[in-house]
Amino acid sequence: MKDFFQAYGIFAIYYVIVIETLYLTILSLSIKNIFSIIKSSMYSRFQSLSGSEYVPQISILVPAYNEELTIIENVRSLLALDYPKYEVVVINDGSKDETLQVMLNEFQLTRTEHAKSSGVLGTSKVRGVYYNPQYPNLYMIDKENGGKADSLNAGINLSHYPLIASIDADSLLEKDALIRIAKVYMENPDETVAIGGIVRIANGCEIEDGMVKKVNLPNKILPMFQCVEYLKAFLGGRIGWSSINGLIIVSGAFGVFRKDFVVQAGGYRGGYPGEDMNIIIKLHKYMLEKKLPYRVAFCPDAVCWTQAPDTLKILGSQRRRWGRGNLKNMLEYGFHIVGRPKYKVMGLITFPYNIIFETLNPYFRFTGFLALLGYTVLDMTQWRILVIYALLNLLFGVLLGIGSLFIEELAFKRYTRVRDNLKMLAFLFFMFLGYQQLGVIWRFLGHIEFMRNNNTWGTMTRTSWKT
Amino acid sequence: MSQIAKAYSFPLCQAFEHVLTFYESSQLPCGIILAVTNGSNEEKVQNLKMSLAKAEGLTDIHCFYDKQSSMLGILLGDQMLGNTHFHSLFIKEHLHARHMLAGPVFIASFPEQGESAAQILSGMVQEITAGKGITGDIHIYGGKRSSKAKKSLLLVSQDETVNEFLRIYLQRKGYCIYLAENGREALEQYQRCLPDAVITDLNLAIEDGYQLISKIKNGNAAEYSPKIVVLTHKRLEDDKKRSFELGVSDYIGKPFSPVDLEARVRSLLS
Repeated sequence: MKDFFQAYGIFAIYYVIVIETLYLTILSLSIKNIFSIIKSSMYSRFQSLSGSEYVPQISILVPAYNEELTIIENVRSLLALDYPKYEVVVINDGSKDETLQVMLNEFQLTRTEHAKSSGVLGTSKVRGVYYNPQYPNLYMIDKENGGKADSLNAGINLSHYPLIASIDADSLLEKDALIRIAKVYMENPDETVAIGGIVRIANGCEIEDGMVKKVNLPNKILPMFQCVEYLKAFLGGRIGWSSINGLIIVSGAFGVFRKDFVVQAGGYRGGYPGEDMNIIIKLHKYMLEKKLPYRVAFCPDAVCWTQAPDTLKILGSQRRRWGRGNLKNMLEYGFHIVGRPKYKVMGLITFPYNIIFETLNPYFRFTGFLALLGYTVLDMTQWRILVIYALLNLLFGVLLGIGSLFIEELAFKRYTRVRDNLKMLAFLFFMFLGYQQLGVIWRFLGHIEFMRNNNTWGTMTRTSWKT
Repeated sequence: MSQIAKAYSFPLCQAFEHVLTFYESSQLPCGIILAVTNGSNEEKVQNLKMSLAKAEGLTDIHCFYDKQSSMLGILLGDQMLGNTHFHSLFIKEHLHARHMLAGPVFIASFPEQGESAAQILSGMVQEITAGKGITGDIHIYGGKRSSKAKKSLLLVSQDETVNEFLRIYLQRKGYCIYLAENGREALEQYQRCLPDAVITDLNLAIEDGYQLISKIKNGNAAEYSPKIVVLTHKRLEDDKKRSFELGVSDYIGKPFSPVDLEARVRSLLS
């Protein structure tokens, strides 16, 4: 028994070393890439671009389910983006509150028969489309409840433009976010199929008229943890992944896609959460199977501000949902894609990485920890190995965090005060004393829910931006 | 000589004589409001002055009530015509609520409407005595706008840098500038200041440029219609078409030349 614990514990230590080394590799790719990103955006004239007729037109899709508190402000801010030509399509997904009515009142929308749905993607029944010529680039779809993916599909059916942007109704875009993403698209319009933006935590920021006026760190502890967590994931992770075309997810909160390829890949998948990862996997699969050159890009300077859950209950439900969605996607495509050279980076790196190090992460780390704990209990003289395990996790984690903060400070500098940076550093450290472990447990619970066939979306409560 | 002497022949003008001389000699702008009231007295005038100072945040107020002609004169220091009009609304409300309003309200401002404040005031007194104006209405005194009068512009842009730059540049060119950062603010500023021209972007928060333009255009059709100039990054044909359909006078794309902008605005306003 003791030998087994020891062997398994040592395996877990190596597992941690490998995973963290991989993270570090990705981080160094990110750092390598950030310099060219800085240069390219420094020499770009976004303001001038934002009025140019050569910029592709975008349909912004906003699925809304019970969003009566925030929807008006969000739509107002979306209508004031710096972008030459775009439309905003709000999809009311059979809300139980007054989402539809507040929209109709605010913008005096009336039912129209002229906006025709192309019907290329199947959706729940659409009850009506609303429009007001005073706001020529705003459409509102009212449909029966069918989930977020279903709403996006309905939006695609109605949309008029070749690019679509999916945006959460609880998120705010910066004025230049869309034009920055469009610039990345225009660098290589033939091959770019999807582009993600960065998601930042808006809790604590001063928000006025649907715009972030002053950037502050969150006051509460949970949003603060998420703030540094997002920085790590987006800056340390996704920049690097995108540079080897291995991005497996474009955040559902803000991403831009080529409509034609999304439609050809079958549109968004309903029924399970994780539709944002699902569509990217399908795009990869479709493009690779058709042997078309393509890329999934990431644009770290296109910012989307989102409200982070600030209670354990809601955060837990969000993380369990992510765990469920991730497991579903891995089971659905994993067996088919993993290890097949045909799927290039996807099959050889991204998917194995995601399955071994993301999906199965809770099991290895947690059981490894238990094994080492058991081993130490059986032989107290070996307590050092437990300390080594803990320190390995901590040091690598903090190192990754510092790397991501470095990128943030180098390229974006949203948090200008020294105090803010010290606070972020502190939280990078504290993350490993409880918060990360919680995340691992939630993911595990999510997997259990999946096995028990629970497909609900869970609760997300909204608070008005006006605080 | 005779004209000036005549100007000070009214008791109201005499009462204001040294205040008016002060404004004239220091070339400070001042708003002039004249109302026909009944049953006013020293106490009520003080009362009005107090509430005006409190509600509108004004500091430089001079009031005088002439019993003989039952005219109430109010001078507001450092106020252009637009602001004066805004304040006169408050004063009218105030008088109306106390059943003191017995005739028309005339407003004017120095130096926008003449080179001599005393002449403007006496002209207004003459018009009221001649029985012009409708009871309860606010009339802008029809004195000719002096060529020296400052034109006022309202600048609307989300970009604070552009606003600030243009404010400094155009102020030095002799315009009176009001600023707004979003559509709602612009509309409020517009109603308060009634500028000669509005220079606006199309991309604005809360109410976008089109909403703003159509509200300005539909708001007051007959007597007063400001020129509207669009200054924007948008260079699409659609935007130009829609803007001109709404009745804007000019459409300037960014990047722009301030010299060009000023020349166009000048020719629009001349």
